[in-house]
Amino acid sequence: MANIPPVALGLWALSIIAQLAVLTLLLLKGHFRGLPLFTTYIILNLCQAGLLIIVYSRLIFASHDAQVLFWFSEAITLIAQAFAATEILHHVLRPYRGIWALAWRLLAITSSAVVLYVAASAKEDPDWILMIASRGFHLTFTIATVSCLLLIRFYEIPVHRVYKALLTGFCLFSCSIVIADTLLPILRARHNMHYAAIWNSLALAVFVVVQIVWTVALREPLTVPRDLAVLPATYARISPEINLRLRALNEVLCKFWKLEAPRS
Amino acid sequence: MNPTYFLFFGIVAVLLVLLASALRTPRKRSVNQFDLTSLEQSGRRHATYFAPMQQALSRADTDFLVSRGSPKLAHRVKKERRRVVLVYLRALRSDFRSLLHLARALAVVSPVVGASQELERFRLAALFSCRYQMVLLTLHAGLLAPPQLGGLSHLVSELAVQMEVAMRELGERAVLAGRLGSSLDGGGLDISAGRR
Repeated sequence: MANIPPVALGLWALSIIAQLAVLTLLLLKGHFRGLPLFTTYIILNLCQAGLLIIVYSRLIFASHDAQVLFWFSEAITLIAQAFAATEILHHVLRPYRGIWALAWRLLAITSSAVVLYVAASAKEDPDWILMIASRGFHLTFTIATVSCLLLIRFYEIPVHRVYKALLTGFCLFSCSIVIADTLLPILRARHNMHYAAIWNSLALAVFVVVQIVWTVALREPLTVPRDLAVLPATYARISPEINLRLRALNEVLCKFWKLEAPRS
Repeated sequence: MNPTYFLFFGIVAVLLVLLASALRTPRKRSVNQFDLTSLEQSGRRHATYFAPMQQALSRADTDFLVSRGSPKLAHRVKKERRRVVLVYLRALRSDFRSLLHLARALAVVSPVVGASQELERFRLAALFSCRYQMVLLTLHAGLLAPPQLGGLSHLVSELAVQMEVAMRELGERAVLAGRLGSSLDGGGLDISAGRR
């Protein structure tokens, strides 16, 4: 592992320690029962770290085989990350079944749109296809998560501090990957000698900070709101009526300014 | 440098700003503390105060003042009329917000939420906000003509009565929704402790 930049090596070691702390808290506090997919994500990340220690101790850091193994393990952890974040969003919205139904539709629409864009852009630059795919995944992930959080905010649904910390961590980490993956071709084109170290260190530094934030957050007990009793027919009856009133109020404003009334 | 790179940096910056705004703690009046009495009062306020406002907006009153009083007095009346309209506009906005709040509270406790209904509401809220700002600008610029206000007064008068009836009805129907919503407050369960 001598060919790995020392800064990246140090940050990598720190990230492993931080992830072990997160896993310990998940197990000791019993959070793994409520968040099994998130726990799996942390375990898979640790397994990836273990695999890469073996790979980099036997192969050269920048070799083709090492890169193939890295991207293979990365794909698994990325899928786990998506499932873990969805699990947390589901925990937040579980008592609000109607809003959850809206949220997963929003997740599907935003994800599909960004995935299509990424697929199109990956075709244009086949040399950087893995980097573009990675950036595309993280961009999709962040847009979908932020969209859901905005929806939650719009309906003024309370989100527990722990869930806020976990989702923020995921988003910050994904944003750092988008920045790092965008910076890499720029640095390489400018013949910067340390492009690989900068790329590695940027994402790893944010990852370490995120793990520390998670460690602090997971010291608290996890709570979920009680499942609500529901009013199946009330929404269907009242919601159109409210929209009618809102439209009427809009029409009043139209008369003020001679605007065309909104079509019902 | 490829402009696409700037695009990605820009997207990340926007996402971070949106993330920060989404994670802000909701205002005191959240859907879990829905105040039904305020909803009923907002409907009643129109019914109670709209008749004198309509009188204040009548062209006959203004003409009378111009013919019998001084220009100074007419100017003062015009200024007062504008103030009344501004107060009324604020009341309209308050009604609009109350209705939106009620709609959100209902959506939150409902097991099935219509995407089209929610999108329509979102669109109406955006439209109202834009139009409200435009009307305010027009009023402050003194461009609002009296005939327009006359026509408006009739429409609003009808609406005020409709709103009062509807608000009361909606308020009664939403009592249950409000009670259910308030049960959320501090009603958290400890997952880890509960399943140990």
